[in-house]
Amino acid sequence: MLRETPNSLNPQLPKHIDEPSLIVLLRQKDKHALAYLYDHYAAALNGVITRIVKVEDVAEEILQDVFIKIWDKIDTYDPDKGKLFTWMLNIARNLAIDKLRSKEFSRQNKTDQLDNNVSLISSQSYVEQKVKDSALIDLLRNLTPEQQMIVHLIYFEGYTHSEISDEFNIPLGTVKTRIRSALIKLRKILQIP
Amino acid sequence: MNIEEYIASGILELYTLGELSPTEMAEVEEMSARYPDVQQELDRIQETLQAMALQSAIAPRPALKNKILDQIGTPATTPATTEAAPVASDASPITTNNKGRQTKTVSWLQYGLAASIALAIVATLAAFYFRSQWKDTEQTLNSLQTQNLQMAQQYKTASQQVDRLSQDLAVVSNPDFQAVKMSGLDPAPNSKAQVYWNPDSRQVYLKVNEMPANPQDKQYQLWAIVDGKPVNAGLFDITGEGAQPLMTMQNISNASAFAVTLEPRGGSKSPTMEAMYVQGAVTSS
Repeated sequence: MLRETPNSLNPQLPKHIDEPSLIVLLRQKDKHALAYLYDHYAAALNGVITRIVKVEDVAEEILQDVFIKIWDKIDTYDPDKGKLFTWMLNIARNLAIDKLRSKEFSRQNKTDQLDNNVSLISSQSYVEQKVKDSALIDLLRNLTPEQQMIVHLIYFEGYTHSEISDEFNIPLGTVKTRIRSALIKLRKILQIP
Repeated sequence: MNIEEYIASGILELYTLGELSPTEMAEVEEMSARYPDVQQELDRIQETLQAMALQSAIAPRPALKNKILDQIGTPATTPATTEAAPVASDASPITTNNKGRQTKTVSWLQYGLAASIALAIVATLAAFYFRSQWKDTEQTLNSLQTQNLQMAQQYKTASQQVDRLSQDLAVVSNPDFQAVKMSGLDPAPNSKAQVYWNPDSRQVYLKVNEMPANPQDKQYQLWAIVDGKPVNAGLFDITGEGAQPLMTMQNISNASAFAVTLEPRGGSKSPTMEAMYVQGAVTSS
């Protein structure tokens, strides 16, 4: 039904579009489909990006790039490999991490780093020190300190699992199983069947 | 392979986060195609991550939506050329050739002028941009250079101290050196110093543990008593309080005692006895 309506589409899309139809519309370069995507997911993606890059303006720049990339690269998205949101999430996460590691960005923060010497974070005090973010605190409250730390590093600080292993001296296998046990707990908290 | 173990290993979480190598990814995809349990677990992980992100969402500024939609909207290149065209084509079809040519020349001039103004603006902006970039870089460089210099100075001081300490230690711990303890006399009873003397090589070192700083016009002089007569063993200044670094003095043979007096700057031929600060006898070993 939606397939044959490239430009003559009603400006108001239905309140809910199922994912396959949404993907078809995006592939047809339907602007309303992107607007729909934005309305439903921009804030979620922005949350992820903001926690990685920490600066609101920079986060919004990246968010903009994320949506442009979604628009340009939707043909490379393969639904067999994962949900649309997972694909978008990884685009957002990767762009944010790229920014975090870019020369330009590290230059901005360099003068701070010169004064800051080494700061060590133990997993016990990790949450009080790092997470001053009520939405996250609520979400992570029932996790063990180790689980909180790993979720925070991976999901909100842009670490890869191997970087955590290197930097915090935790064996790779332990990192993996901790991610898993944390996500299982989160699954219960978020009431996913 | 045991499916439960495979799931429990945490590999599916990493797959979802996009952190696997292409080979590992292919393996996960093959497993999920073959085993419904793997696929189901992948779905759950994705849903969890999605729910997490939705739960901890941060709304961007409202203006951003239209900014993005505008940017993806119309192909960016077309409007510029369609706007430019009418200016040139307005006059030409109706008016004579001559006039047409004239307006064309004028409009080309206008374009030329506009282009050069635009170029000038762009160049100026670029200059400002690069200047600020350069300033930033210079600042970072300066602060790093300062740091580097401070570190180099600290290192130099530290390594000089280490050198001196190890030299001192070489003297103090050498069994060929005799330690001659000198205690304070009337002018400054709390004074304390030691001579390290090697009777064979004749070398003399002086360690002052405690002595008052000497006035500008005076200097301390170390004497050795050789065959009952005082022999000059060198001059030195004390400027600060507390223990001083080990000082190299003049070589001496056959000393039976050492003493320090305060003399006019430049030293004296013979010691001023009432200005003797410390003295001590060589204990024959």
